[in-house]
Amino acid sequence: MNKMILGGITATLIAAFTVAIVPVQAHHSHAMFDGSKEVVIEGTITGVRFANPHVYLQVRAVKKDGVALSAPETWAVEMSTVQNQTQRGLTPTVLTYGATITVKMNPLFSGERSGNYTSVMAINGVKNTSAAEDWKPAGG
Amino acid sequence: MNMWTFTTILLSGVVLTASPAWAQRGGGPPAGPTSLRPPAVTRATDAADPFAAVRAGRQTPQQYQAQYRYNAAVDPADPFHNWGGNLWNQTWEGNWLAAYRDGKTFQQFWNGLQGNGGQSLILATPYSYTSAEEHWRAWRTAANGGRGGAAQPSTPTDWSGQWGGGGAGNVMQRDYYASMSAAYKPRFAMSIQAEIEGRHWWPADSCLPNAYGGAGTWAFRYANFNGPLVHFNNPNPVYEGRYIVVGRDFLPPDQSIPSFMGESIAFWDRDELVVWTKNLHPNMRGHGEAEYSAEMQMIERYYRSGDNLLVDVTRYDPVAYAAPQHSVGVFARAAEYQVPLQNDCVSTNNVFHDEKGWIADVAPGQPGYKDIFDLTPWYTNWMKAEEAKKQGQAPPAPSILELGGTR
Repeated sequence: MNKMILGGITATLIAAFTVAIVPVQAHHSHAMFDGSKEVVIEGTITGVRFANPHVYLQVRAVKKDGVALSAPETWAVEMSTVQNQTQRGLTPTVLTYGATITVKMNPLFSGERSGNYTSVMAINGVKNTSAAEDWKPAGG
Repeated sequence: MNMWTFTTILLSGVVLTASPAWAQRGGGPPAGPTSLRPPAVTRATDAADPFAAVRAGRQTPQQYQAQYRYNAAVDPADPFHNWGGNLWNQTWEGNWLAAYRDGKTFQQFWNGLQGNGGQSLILATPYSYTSAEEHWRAWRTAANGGRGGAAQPSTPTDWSGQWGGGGAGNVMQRDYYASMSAAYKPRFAMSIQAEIEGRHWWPADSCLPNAYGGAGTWAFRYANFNGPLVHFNNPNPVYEGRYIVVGRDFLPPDQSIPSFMGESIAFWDRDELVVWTKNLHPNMRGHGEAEYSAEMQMIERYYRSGDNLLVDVTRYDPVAYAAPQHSVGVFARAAEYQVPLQNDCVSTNNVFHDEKGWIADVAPGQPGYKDIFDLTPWYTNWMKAEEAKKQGQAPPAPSILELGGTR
């Protein structure tokens, strides 16, 4: 990549973040999540809690890592703050009770049914064009 | 490297890794040479009127703040590896455990984490006061000596709105360590060791207020005035509400109950608010910052200068600190007021610290899981109790509707 382009992008992003960033204090460390693993669950949203410090989803999962489960499992999915989720496009009108969802997360080290989301891959069959934490629906 | 990878790395670098605290907290690194240790503090020209130059327009709030900052040089012998407050960003995802799984020793992992020095604070106080009470009385006497010291300023001061920033600036961990008492130095080192190992313990992760931890961080987002009551609050990462009563004394000892945000009284010195806070629970803010004891008392002086709110803070804690500590914050007023969002940590937090001191999370189906999605836990509880009665697990108590009236 051209050095000048890199420099321009760097300067722009640094300027944007220097202006936008406010003092950050994380609510808790993420050391309980296994950052080396990602689990993908598919199912139905059975609970949505838009709250600070974290937005949470409850999902009745029927598939895990693409494989159908013998019985549905209830998972809790931790997200970021209300402000971050809203900025990412994952608003209360997108994350709705009863919607089908495919979500990728770093699971708990304990192996229990909870994790910290890294990407919402699809909602109601609409795929996400972003591989990161944003929601950019295909065709949106 | 594709553009997405590059952008991700760059954003991570800006947000999590390389963002110097001064970039996050407003202002910039102080001009001047670097030094391994903080230079001697500049004594206050007029201790009873520290903001005189700012009031006269000879000094901006940022220049006032810069007097109490310095550039910390990289010290090869620094046991804290020249880190300031951002070490947590390098470790909060359990990075040491991941390195351990990859076969690294702790020493190899820690040696791979090197900070770059940079802006830090001169924590020594520019005042000669040795206690909060002495400090308060001196400022109170000066205020009464021709400047009023009234419960309300003659011209009402409008501090309403959303005030961001306010942090005094990054503090090198070696500077915090040097500032702690002999008894608290090992505790500070222990807290940093925990963060390096991924055993972070931050008050907010247990839904406790961060309160007034490390001198470098100072945050509230909203200020509200209601007659003699000033209310500062900060809704994230946990709700912190702070009430400052103007023109009153502390409650008598038998009514004075310690709390995380403490008890604050204040008087106006012209349009500057002087605040004395005590009766605190001991606390720490975490994120590489310093702990204080229940003995901590704090004197603050606030002054609005345009769209900045300047605060001069002196902390007295003979138990946790080697000497009184001082810092200066500059808040900036947001152009538009944003409605504060409620913080629901108490009803949504399933984070806990296990028997080994590691952070963990209770998941659905596990004992102790707090049902985040149950918005009427009282009804859930009543139904459980009714079921228990049906099962004979509680004394019989028929419905009052079935029993009817008796007169």
